[in-house]
Amino acid sequence: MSCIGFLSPEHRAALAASRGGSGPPLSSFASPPATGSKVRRVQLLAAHRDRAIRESAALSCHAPVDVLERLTGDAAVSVRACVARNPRAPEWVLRVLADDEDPRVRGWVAANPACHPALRAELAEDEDAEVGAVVGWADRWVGR
Amino acid sequence: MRVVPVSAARGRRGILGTGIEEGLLLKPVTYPWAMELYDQAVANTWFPNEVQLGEDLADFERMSDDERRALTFLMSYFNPSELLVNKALAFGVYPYVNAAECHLYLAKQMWEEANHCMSFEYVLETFPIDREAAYASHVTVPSMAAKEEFEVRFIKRMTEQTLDISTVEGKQDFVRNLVAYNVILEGIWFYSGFMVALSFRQRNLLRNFGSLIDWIVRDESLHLKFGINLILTVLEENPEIATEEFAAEIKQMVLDAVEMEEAYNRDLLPNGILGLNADYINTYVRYLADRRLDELGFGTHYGVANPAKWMATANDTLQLVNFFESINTSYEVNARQG
Repeated sequence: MSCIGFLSPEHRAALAASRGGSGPPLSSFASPPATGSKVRRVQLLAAHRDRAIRESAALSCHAPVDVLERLTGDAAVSVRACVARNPRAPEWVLRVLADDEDPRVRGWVAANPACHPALRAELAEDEDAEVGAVVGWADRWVGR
Repeated sequence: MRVVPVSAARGRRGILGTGIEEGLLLKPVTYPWAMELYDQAVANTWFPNEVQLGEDLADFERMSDDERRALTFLMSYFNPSELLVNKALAFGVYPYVNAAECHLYLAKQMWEEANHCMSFEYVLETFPIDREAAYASHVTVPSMAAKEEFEVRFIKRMTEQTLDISTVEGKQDFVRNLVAYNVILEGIWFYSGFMVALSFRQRNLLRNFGSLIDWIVRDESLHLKFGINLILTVLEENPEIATEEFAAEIKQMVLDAVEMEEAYNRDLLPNGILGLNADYINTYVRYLADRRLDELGFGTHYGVANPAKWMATANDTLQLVNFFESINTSYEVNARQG
């Protein structure tokens, strides 16, 4: 006996209604809410011995400010660069990283859409010409 | 990260096998590289709506017809291909791997492929792209269909009852499928598409779409490491399969894949868009193929330099777009074109 025999007319109607190509969006594409446990997980990841995992914490959209602040002093340039790339990094964190010893980190600050125009203007005068070039690129975004 | 081979001479089971009742306990971990990749993959969990794609709509409106067509073309290819990778994993890899730590990683990878598929759906539902046309192209555009047919051929072989993974021929089929979906599809064809996708951001367009691609590339770089480690481990544990004929066949698969990608890119950009044309992308494809051939132990074949230095050469870092070099490169390309 096929299990199809168990379907009621209501089941069939619901299945038919769920088909169709151009209906409403397939999904809200939403992520689960940022619960306390999720934030604690990011805090644990930020202390991981593996640099690649600390990078993920630095990029996370759920990274709390205390994590981002701690990672601005990370020994790995790539981790500090990830903090500089995070569009949710607060302005004062980006300001700290704008003084980073590594020009790659300062370049990512200039590229961050959250970078304040005044800070970007300061970076335009950076001693490293490439950081200034990034500012030039960032200034070309329309409506930024 | 070093691949640690398990010697059959030590009397331990290798990475290949189909014992359903085996590989059910995680410890002792035989392949620590798989656990490392699993940890990195879990740490890298993300969701499409964390990127505010809607902010790019104004950019989409001011893009040229050729640019919009290129974006649609990319969606046409990426969307079914993410699901095709899952079929390759489900039918051709997971059933024949005998290590629990590898199963953990493969399960995470399959979720990531699903997440990528949904990311491209997010693009289709955010931008005014003709979904019907986008969905149809992987069948109606010959160069795109050829790539899909190439992959399907190897996946189908993995589902045939005549395949016996304990034989030399079965193990070679396993490696063929891995090379097809991992080295070629994920390691060359996807990266070629990522480069085109990220080139929009290089030209101050679609910043958030670029961030979405960044996350996908970050996942894909782990997929590539896993696949290459798996291939090398299988070869290490089963030296009898690495005949000269088999090596020549694998290399030829990569070279054929480059030709297919070159035809596809000519369809993708028949007229070129600012700073980018098919020749430029295809030089990058040859550069990628050389990297993959080198990782497989063949050495380079094309000997071309990376034309897109703004794409990271070390994809295990987050320097996916080297802005410093990118600016110069963009200017150079624009200048060359006129």
